[in-house]
Amino acid sequence: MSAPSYWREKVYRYRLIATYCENCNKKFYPPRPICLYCNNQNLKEVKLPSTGTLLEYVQVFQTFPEFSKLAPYYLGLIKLDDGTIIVAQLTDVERSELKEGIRVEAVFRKMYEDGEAGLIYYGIKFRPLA
Amino acid sequence: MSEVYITGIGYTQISEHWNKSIKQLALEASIKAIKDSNYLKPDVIIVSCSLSSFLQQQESLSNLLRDYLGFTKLPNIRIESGECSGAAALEIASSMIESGRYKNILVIGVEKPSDRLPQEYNAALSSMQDREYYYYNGITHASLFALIYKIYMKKYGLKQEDIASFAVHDHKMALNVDYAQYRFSISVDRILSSPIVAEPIRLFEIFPTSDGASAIMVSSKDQVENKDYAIKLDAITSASDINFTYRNDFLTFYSFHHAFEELRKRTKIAKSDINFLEIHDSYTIAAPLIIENLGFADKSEACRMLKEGEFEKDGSLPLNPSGGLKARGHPIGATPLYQVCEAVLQLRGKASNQVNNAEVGLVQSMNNVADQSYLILLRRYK
Repeated sequence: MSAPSYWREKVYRYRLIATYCENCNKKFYPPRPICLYCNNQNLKEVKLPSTGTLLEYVQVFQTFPEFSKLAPYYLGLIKLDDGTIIVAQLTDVERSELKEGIRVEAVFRKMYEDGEAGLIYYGIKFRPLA
Repeated sequence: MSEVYITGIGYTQISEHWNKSIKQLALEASIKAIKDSNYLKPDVIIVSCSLSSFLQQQESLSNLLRDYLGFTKLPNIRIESGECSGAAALEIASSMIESGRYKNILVIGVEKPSDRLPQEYNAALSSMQDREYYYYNGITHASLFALIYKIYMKKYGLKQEDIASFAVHDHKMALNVDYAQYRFSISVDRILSSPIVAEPIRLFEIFPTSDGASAIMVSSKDQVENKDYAIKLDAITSASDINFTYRNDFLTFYSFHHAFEELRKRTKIAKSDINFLEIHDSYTIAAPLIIENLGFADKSEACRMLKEGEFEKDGSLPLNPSGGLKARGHPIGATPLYQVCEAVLQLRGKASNQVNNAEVGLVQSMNNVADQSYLILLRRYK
């Protein structure tokens, strides 16, 4: 991941910022400038709700070099409380807690780092709602 | 509009070719295809390769291959459309022949992932998705199929062994296919005891790391010398779908529906006319979803049809006589052209798992989770 790309993208990576189409009542995450359903170009930036429901999950064993020390980790298919669906990592979770339909919340977490002296990359993961 | 024919095919053994370069593989397939066409001279070279900029850090591949093939002046283009690059290249070649501007076009597909470590290859594969989002969050190519796998099993009350059996089928077919990567049979137990890649997907349910090259000479009708040998490229249709997370049904692949509807409109083909299918079963779960979404089986029925032998070469719908992506292999940019080469062999009556009286074959290709789809209909010369 290049440094310029990281700085450019961090707004939505840190804060679940999406774009919203008023005509279709649809939200897009990661944000995009044109509505996928009606081609409206006047989309507004909105903050997505930070809680949602787990629709399905998988455990990832083989992954990219940056995540190999983290593996195995869980990925969740999450329906946020406004209906927006996203895929994100699950954290602070035991296998016994993972079930279709559990409530989850967004948390700010380290994703990976570029070696000892390189950039540390942060983002959003989800954990079961206490 | 000129009709389009396949007048020559060539391909390499699919393997991990440690001692050959991406250029050597592409040249080997190209020379075979040119020879197979009885030395037709191409007017244009189109190269399909998806990952050379990642894996070999090599761009301008089409001009490089043109040079190494010894064609000093030919126009050349490189096409990249993820896993269906080869189908996209063939569609462009086909349109260029239809336009009447060119007579013969050599389409070359190649990929050489064994130049890199498995983790690096995994990273390269992720570049076929929105990398700034997927890669950053550790969402691998396999993990989306893993999600769909679980949703499919739950919805239809199926077991993993029902779905993993599609890999058994592919391996059984590949036993006879001399160019296939994995020519041995495998049991469901062995598959389900292989390492987990993205739960529930096991290593032996996934396409292998495959190096290979395949080439096809595409020609206008007046170039056809041998009518028993040339195969008609009847139609290529394509469609795409919105990103996975925006779909209202994760098990419905609209890109197939649209591509098949377009194919039906253009060729008046009925499903019962199709004698065999070559599909893009990158993961075992892809196979039932492709068959069902194309309408060759009712929802949830593909696993039952497999069990009942309907996909055998003498069954009602012979499936992947080449061994499919699992056992023939999946050299990304070359895969759709390997699928077409297999269909050509079938229609010439020269295939290893020959389907009796094959007249019409359908090749299906896709990128990621059916984000893009291609259908290629091939027929015997008439």
